[in-house]
Amino acid sequence: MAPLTVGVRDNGEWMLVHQCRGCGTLRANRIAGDDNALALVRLALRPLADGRFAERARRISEQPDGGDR
Amino acid sequence: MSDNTTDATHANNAAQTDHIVRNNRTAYDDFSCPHCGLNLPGTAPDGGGRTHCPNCLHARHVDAARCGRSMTPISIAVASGGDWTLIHRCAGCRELVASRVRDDDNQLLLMRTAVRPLAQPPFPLDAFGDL
Repeated sequence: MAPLTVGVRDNGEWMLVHQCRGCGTLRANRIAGDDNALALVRLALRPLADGRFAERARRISEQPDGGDR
Repeated sequence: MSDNTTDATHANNAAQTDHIVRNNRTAYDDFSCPHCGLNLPGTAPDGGGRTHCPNCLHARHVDAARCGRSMTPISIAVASGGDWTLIHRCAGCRELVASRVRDDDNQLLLMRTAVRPLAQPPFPLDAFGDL
């Protein structure tokens, strides 16, 4: 299973979302104290590294309600 | 919790569209959002099926005759093409489902979900500023 993204649990802890390369099944697990911090941060930054992030921010600034509604 | 046979069915359908998206519904009915109550047509403006509410990003667990409970958006993932994908967790069966983000989704909520891990880091991020 490959690491897909990180999320935040209700208690504030990070959780790692994995996806099986074969069947696409998603699983979430807590991070461990000895996990590679740089790898985790890189994963957390992936959505922000997308070039369209700035476009989304621009759309929010133009429409304070955050969407077309 | 979830049996292996249905996961294999999901895999076949997922391979036809996008590897990351496991929502294998073939028909998208009109539905009302279980979280904010918004009534939504089953088809999104861009022609694809609507899997989650564009206003609050919640969804209903209905693919492959699942439990029908409300699903909460927990994370943003990046698909192979660079498109954002929303990860949902079902409030009933705790299963995880991925669905692609639409252009008419609430951008503010998407951004909040995307940056949430960095806003609540488990360790100080100061050291990364010196890299």
